[in-house]
Amino acid sequence: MTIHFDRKQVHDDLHSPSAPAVLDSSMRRAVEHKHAAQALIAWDELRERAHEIKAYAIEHLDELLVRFESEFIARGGRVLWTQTADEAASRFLDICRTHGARSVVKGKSMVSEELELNARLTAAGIDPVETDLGEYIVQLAGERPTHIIAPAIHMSRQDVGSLFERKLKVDYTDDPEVLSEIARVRLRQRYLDAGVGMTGANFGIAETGTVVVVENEGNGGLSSQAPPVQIVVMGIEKVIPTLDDLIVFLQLLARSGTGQKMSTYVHHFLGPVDGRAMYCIFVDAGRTALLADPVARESLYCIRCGACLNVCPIYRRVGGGAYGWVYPGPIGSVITPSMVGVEDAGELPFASTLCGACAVECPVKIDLPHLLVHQRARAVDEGAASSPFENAAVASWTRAMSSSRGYSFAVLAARVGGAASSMLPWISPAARAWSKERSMPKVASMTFKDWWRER
Amino acid sequence: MSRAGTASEAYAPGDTVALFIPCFIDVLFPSVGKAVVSIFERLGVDLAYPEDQTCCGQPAFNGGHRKEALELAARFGDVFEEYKWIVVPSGSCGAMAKRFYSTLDPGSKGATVGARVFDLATFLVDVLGTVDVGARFPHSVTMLDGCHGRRELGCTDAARRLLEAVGDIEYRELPAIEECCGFGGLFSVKFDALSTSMGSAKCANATATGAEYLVSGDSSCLMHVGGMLDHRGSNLKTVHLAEVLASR
Amino acid sequence: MTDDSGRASFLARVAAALGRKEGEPRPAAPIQRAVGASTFDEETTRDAAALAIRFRDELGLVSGETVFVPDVGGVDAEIERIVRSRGLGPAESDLKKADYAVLRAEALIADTGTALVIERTAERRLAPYLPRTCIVVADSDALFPTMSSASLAALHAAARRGDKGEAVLITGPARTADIEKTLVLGAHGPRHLIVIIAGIQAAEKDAPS
Ligand code: SF4
Repeated sequence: MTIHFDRKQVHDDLHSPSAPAVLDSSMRRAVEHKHAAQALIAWDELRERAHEIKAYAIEHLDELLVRFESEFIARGGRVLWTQTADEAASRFLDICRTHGARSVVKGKSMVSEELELNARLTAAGIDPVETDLGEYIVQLAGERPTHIIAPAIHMSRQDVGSLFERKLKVDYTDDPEVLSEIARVRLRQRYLDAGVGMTGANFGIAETGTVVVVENEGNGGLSSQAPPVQIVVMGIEKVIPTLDDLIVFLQLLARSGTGQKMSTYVHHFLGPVDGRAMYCIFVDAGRTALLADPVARESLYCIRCGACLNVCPIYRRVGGGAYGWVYPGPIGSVITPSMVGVEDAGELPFASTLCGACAVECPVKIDLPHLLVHQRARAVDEGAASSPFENAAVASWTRAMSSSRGYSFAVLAARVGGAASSMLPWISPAARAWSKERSMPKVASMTFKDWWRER
Repeated sequence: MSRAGTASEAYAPGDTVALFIPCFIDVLFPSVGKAVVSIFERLGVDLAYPEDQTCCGQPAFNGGHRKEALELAARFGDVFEEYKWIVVPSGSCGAMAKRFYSTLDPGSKGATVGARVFDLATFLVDVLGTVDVGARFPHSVTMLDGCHGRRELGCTDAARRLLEAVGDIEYRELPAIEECCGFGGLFSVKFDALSTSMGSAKCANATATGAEYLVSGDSSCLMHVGGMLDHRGSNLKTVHLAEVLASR
Repeated sequence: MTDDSGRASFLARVAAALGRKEGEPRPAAPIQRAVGASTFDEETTRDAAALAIRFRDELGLVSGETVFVPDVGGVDAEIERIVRSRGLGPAESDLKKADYAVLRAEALIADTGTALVIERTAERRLAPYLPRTCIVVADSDALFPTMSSASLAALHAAARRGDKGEAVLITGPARTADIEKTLVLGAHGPRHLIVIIAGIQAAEKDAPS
């Protein structure tokens, strides 16, 4: 699987009349709400502290996982450790079969997308039912979520209206209230009929062995509590030490994600009541590759709030589809190359101007632009991003820039060629890309250096 | 949270300031370098220009070519080693030296020397304590803020304050000033459609102010946005902050 | 119990990624608060009336309602009044058909208008989610200024005791903004959330906070 930043998508989206405008204004509203919500508290102090807690948790991940496991078991749950997405999906299916489940109701979970769980369940004859409204819409459309907290953000209300009309055979409406009610009514019985309820995890608390899920719609409560069997699929980086630590993240998560002071529901699963069963599947699926990289490790602090997507000028223009895999936006471009392999996704971190707006917003203070540059370097080191031509050109350019004489020659070449691009030879082939909508700067008749010498 | 380099030592009158004139300014926009010289001369600051300087290595660094970037960072350390104060009329190249040399190789000579780099506006305002440099520019202006200067070096106020102190100038705030113009170095050609889409938004916001000039402390952003304005035959002219501060 | 296949190699991979030496014993997970001492300044005020007003205002901002009754004895009558005035059907034992459910809050957090509800039985586990209206009942003693160790003490205790079921922090009625970021109340959970706080004098309720 090779993942490219989809330039075609860029092109289409930039020229499609509705989608980017809807996306852009939604994202702007989200950032405004976030700023309003964070203005009232000691934001910088909180994010500093959140960063420290995550740093501690990740440095002690092995201990915390073991502690979480023993507490979770004491609560009456079972823990499964899975190395790959494929293995995690297989274990999930095993549990469904053991309990004879015919359908699975699912709360919102990005890990589930990594597992391609819906496809796996369907292939096994088990019906996956997405219950988060955005996920439900995306599932109906046969698409993939394009935002980590707002899966259907790329669709306008009219898009959703005609989708419902087509797929659910209801009268067309583009009123979000009516559309939401339609989904509610459709899903009611599904919760009660499902054999298994699945959620992701926002946090796993080592001290208590409780899984915490944060949501607004109530579907997380229903999905986790209604069916007789509950399965939590949890990326290993979600473990934090204590319940008190959670308080810090709760202050940050809702404000960053939706601009709420507190999300409507913060669920803590204490343990299965009479005859019910509770499982937790720990998923690695490339996380230890991030963990083993002392620089990229910081990306495991992510609490998936979506703020870096909301503010990203690239994401706002292309939406999540262009990033080719599960996680879009700045955080996606950082983690995807490590999770799926830099040889397959080395291009993603280049789709950024490194403007740094994401780092300013990140509630756990992940230095995203720095990590993007780090992943670029890994991609180049692995030969996964630059052509041999580019590598050779950069090497010879560097040689030129390493001496005054070489520099003078480059300047001379630029003057003779009349093109600024001669200063950066590996750009030359792309001079046309520059010139499509931009005038090319002229080489001055006298450089500053010459002027200085002669003054 | 400001990453602005504040001088650990105060600038003493008589201290020499070394000019770091980025390669593309040297070749494409030498008038910017000349303007910096004239500002400092007016302020009576002693200047040096190490003639061996070339490129800071940012294109290689941002392109993921770490080894080459390291070589040029080391070279920068050698060339500027003897200077306590280094001033650059570019937030972006300034961020490369001040912030990213230490990312590349913490504790290296390049990193130590790079830490002494100041972007022009920050140096004038925060180090020299000068807001009014005695300039006169009888035009309406709006300002394009380079992202590296703004977020990596934390300098936003300095440029604005300098502009506002210029005689006969009319400063107009650029809407959405914090949004990236879409240049991004290699990004501008690797993802040209996106780059110019972002540039269009910047052009539209700048044009909407009705100002005569778009000013920036970063020639690279200006090259991109100015290139777009020119391509579209816009009346809005671009000018570097140094050139405004040098005019009388 | 644990599925052992893969566990050992999994943990070995994590340890290796963290740069632990082979055979280096893993510290026995001494869970302490990770960094720093306090989480939030727990305001010292426990003036119930002031907290109740703050709670009501905050919950109001997220479309929840709060009513005060002078003492616990008045709660049933208040529920009756709510049910009648809103034309809700009689209380049903079958939550699927019920118009409303009554929940008990073990803590109320004024700063965010949040109620801590713990449901420990199979029969009650869907009470917070299924009916269109949720009535949450709490004593004014349960009011706390902020989310803190103190306000979450009941949750700590339930976790320590090994209680089963689910603890949930509820802040307002259910909502979604998944279509064009437009807010819609109700979603999959209750459309109405009413919190009754017992032990607050009607006269106090509009006292300045
Ligand atoms: S990287 Fe930061 S801003 Fe982006 S989703 Fe993760 S926590 Fe949120």
